[in-house]
Amino acid sequence: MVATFNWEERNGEEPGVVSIPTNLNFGSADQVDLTPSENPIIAGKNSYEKWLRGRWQGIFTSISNLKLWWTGSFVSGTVVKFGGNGIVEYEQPVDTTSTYAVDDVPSSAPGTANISINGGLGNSLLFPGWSDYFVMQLQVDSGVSAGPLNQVTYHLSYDEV
Amino acid sequence: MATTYTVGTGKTYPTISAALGAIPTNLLGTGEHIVEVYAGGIAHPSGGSIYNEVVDAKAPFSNFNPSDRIILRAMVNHEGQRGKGIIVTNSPAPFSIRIGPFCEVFGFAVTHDPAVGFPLYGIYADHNIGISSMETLIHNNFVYDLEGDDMEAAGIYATSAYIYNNAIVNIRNSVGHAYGIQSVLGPGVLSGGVTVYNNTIYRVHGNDNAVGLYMEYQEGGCGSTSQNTIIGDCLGLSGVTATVFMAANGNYDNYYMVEDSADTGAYPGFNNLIFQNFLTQVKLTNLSVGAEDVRLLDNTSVCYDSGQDLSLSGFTDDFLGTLRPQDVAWDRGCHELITGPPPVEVTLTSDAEVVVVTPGIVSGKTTMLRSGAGEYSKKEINIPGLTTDGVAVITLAERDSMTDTRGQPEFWAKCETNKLTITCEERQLFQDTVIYYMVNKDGSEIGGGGGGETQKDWFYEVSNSNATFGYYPTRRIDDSSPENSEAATIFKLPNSFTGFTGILLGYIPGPGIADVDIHVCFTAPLQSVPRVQNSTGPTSLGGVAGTINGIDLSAYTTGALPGDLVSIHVAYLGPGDPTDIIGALVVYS
Repeated sequence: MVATFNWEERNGEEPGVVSIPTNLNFGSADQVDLTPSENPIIAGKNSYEKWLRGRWQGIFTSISNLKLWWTGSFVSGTVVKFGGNGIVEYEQPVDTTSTYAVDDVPSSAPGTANISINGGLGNSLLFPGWSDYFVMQLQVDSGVSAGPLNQVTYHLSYDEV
Repeated sequence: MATTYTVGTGKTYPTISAALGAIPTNLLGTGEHIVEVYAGGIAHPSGGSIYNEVVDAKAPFSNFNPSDRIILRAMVNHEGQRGKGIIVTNSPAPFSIRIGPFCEVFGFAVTHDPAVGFPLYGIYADHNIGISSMETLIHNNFVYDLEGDDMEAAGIYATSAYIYNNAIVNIRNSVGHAYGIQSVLGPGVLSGGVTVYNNTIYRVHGNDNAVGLYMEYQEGGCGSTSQNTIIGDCLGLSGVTATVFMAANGNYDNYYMVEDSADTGAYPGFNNLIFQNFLTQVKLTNLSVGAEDVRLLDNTSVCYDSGQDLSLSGFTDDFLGTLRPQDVAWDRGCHELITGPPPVEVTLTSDAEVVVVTPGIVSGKTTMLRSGAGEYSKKEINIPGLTTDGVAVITLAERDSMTDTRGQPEFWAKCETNKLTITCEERQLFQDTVIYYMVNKDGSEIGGGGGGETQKDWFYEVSNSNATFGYYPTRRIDDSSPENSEAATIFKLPNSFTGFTGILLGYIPGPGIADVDIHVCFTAPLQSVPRVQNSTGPTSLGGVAGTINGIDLSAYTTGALPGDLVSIHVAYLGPGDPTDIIGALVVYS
């Protein structure tokens, strides 16, 4: 048997509404699967945070070593910030500069885990459940030209035993 | 026969030296003496236990033999990381840990405290004259950050020993030679040599020679050999060129990796990895000075599954206790990588779009659809770049669209992210109704100056108490509050502006037919002095008290240009009851 994985996104005022996203589009609304053209980010401002978790169901021995990175890159003047260690409680996403998403997203698979489980990067999930939250935010410089950004891909890898 | 001595917090002995002091000095016939070292000593911030003492398991003992010997065993794993496990630091002796022949030292973290002294050797396996034995065991230790200040410094020094699963990193000597592992034939040693299996030696820097693995070779004598060993980054500043190199797999671009001082032929080692420049293939976890982590990073390392099976030589684990092999074959070096199945990888794509907000007015019209009883009619107008900081005004375009029999008309306009939302109670709409709206995205006031209201506090309620006129105000003078008896609308004409269709002001004079002052001003944004194109008043508007009257202000708009700020300001001057200004509809093309 193998575990079944789903991304989960939580939006809105606490406790929020949980959805299974089909994309990780950033925008000016706290909304799952938003349409970027309808929710563009104003140059010089931030997207709303994305509050995400991984969820594993089914039969497995352990899930561990969660690593998030991206491939591709948005246009110059934009940066995606990320935080994934020890964020165990949800807070309503904001479009002010995130206090959770403060590190750059790695551009390749990191050497060690960067998303925690039960508060620790070295922890394992031994029963069906969730990772801790990982928070992401797109931050846009004021000089960025209007228009769509390049599409990027976010990768999440985990060890399943 | 074996006697165990426990060291650590809550154990029998507080120090290793104290435990060694309890062992008979004449070992003959006394059996094995096992010193087990647990957590204790001084707590290291990273969780380890520091035993800052000389650990001498050689002197003053005598009569070592395979049955009567001393075993030093660390009971807390160092995890291959600084600051963890049982840490033996050195006092100003020439070694941190010394053992005699047939003895064993297992699992320690060995380093030194520069404030205390400089050891020449991390682990020193002494020999006795006449001894020819390979039963001295040095394994699973982590020797790091040794600084020599004499002619020689070595992570491990041994004459006859079996040396395996050790990590030896960052051995320096600013004066003389530096060695990772140094094997020297001592006087009277008949044979022996060292067996070096599955060690990892990284960063050996000396002022003179710097040799990762030094083996004194005696032709026909000692049978030193090395297998599965990783050696990297050995640099001597003025060193002697090694003369014979190991017949091993590897990259020989550094002359100080392996030296055989006898210069008698090829070294009998194989399957070692000697590297200097292809670090990316080796993939040790961390090569930074002072933070070296010699565990294999992942299974793309050339050391992964590429070692020889040495289980017949007596060990089947790595320096962390992991069984060898994991997966298909032994790994080279002190670490056996646990990989398990390859990681599972899932992905999500991500898009975004940027909009650049140009300050100014967006205007237009929309149709509110008459809704069912008890429902609200709602309209969302997409305005990219609009935020909750924006301001908006709305007004009706058709009087007949309102009912005058069902109470006060109430509209709400709310600036939201990228959209303007307009809501109206069902009862207010007699039919589908055209709504004009004006929005300033950058948050500048559109209307203001009176009424005690701020239009940034949306929901902004657009209402009046006389629903028969059909045009509804951007600001309303409250007839019950004289201090509020003025109103204004200010907005910026867009670059596409070509002319006004009309500006209409609606009002309800008070019983005294109040006078009001009306100003319509155009102001070029870059001019410091307002450019007043037209102004009237004070004037009596006339009209019938208590009924709705209207005045067309379009005559005052001649000369307006794109980019101008337009101000319509109405002030009550009296006499009589305040005039109720109920509407200012501005439409431009």
